[in-house]
Amino acid sequence: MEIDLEEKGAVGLIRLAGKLTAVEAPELEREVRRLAETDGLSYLLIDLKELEYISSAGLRVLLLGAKMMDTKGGQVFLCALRDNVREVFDISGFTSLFRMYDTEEEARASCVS
Amino acid sequence: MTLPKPSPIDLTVPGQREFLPLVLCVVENGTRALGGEEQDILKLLLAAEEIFHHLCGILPPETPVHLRCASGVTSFSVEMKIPKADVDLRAFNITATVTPESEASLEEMGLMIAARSVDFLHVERSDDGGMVFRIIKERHYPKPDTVPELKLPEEGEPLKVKEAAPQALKEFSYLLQKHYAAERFPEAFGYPGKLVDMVKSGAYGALTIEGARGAIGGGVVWRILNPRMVECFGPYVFVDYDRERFIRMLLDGVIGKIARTSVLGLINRYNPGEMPAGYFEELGTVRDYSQSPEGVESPYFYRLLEEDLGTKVWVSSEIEPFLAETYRRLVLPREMRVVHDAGEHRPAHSVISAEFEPPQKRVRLRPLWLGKDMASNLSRHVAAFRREGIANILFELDVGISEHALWIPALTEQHFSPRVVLPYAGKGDLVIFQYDVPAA
Repeated sequence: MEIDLEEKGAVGLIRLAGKLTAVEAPELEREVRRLAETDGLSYLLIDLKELEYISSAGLRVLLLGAKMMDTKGGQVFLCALRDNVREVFDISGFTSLFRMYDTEEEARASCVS
Repeated sequence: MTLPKPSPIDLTVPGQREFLPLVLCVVENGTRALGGEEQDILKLLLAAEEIFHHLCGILPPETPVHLRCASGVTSFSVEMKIPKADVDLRAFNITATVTPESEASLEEMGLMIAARSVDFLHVERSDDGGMVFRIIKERHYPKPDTVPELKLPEEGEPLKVKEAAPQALKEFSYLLQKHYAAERFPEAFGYPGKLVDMVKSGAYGALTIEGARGAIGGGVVWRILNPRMVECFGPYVFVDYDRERFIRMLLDGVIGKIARTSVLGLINRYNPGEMPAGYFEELGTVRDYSQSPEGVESPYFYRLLEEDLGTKVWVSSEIEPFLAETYRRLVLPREMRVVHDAGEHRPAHSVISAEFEPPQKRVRLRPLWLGKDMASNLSRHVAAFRREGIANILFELDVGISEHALWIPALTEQHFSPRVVLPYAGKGDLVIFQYDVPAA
């Protein structure tokens, strides 16, 4: 799996590509924790456009990020989920826990508004 | 021609998370090598990851996990076998939910995802007391958007019963969808390519009735349930003349085919309601509530082909009178052994599998794992299905398996009544229970 990071002002962006299994989840968790603990960062935007696969281990990392951001008054936005990835959110009941957008641009627009 | 079955791919690893990448690699590449398509591979991979990862968290580190990837003609499977272990499987129930605030609930989320990402999940006790998890993903087949116009044999044209060739099977599938309501046949028959592969696999057989110019006038399909029993679907007839004669020709054809084997009998659950006299005995009926709240009786049929020398069945006292009467009426020699709950150890949580049949507004439940909460688990399932508007809730119990008899008190407590006995349709006879809506 590839993790691409970008920080701009109040927005932290994580782009994920490939497969997010329990093997890769600890690496993502480190990055999510680091960004969530960054002062002044209010939005964590996670772009899943190139993510082919996610398991419960990946969902738990995203939930951790949401909880950490919530504690500091911030938010996590997810965008561009593929159908099979979206299905995993649906069957686990996680869809309602996140704000989701079709594109990264839409998610960014919500960050500033 | 029956298609050859590819060899399975086997791997044995210790139940440790360090081996997860290897397990994932074997499942992904193995299923791909066996001919899986990308979306199917990802779903099997997901279920396999979740089950292996969960087992690693509860098994002693050196416990071996035997993994097997296999391919059937219409499906792919991954099997994981472990020695005897105490695994709480409640998350496999379709009623399971995740509470994001609860760490314990999140621990079980993987099993829940595993159960819902594949088409079938089986959990069985192996002969040596271990546990076998089997996950199955059906191959994807296209459903025809439109049913082509096909000519039927003309009245007076000579008709013959033939073994269905692939093109005839495709036409049979199209005609079935045009002439019969969807609840009259299994959903798989509505996918022409799948039906062809099912017959090619050798597990199914089919006969069609054809005119001199090859037009299809009807057909019948059967499948080998096990070495003792065959299930027959139909016969279906598409012409509006001589229907009974054609039904008889198809039934004679299928009985002639099966009579050459060592199969004991033939059961029939899907029939269009035109069964001629003299071919089958009525096993009993289930009530179809999909059309009206009062329900309509739907008969199941049986034909004995060889002498039934009998077997033993495991029951509990609640259904003993029903079974005694049924076996007497059908002249089936059975020795009934009553199973008592002797307080033996039982896991806290039971597991029930659910197979949905949307055209029939029906769900078939089967026991996967015994637990102390069988009655409340059944109650949760019934409540969930009723909320979804599922009219027909059936529970299939195999009285050839002694453990299954321990479900019977919970079933009767939860308003399930025994309706039909299907001889030898499982390891032993299958007893079909149906949920009866309690009177207000």
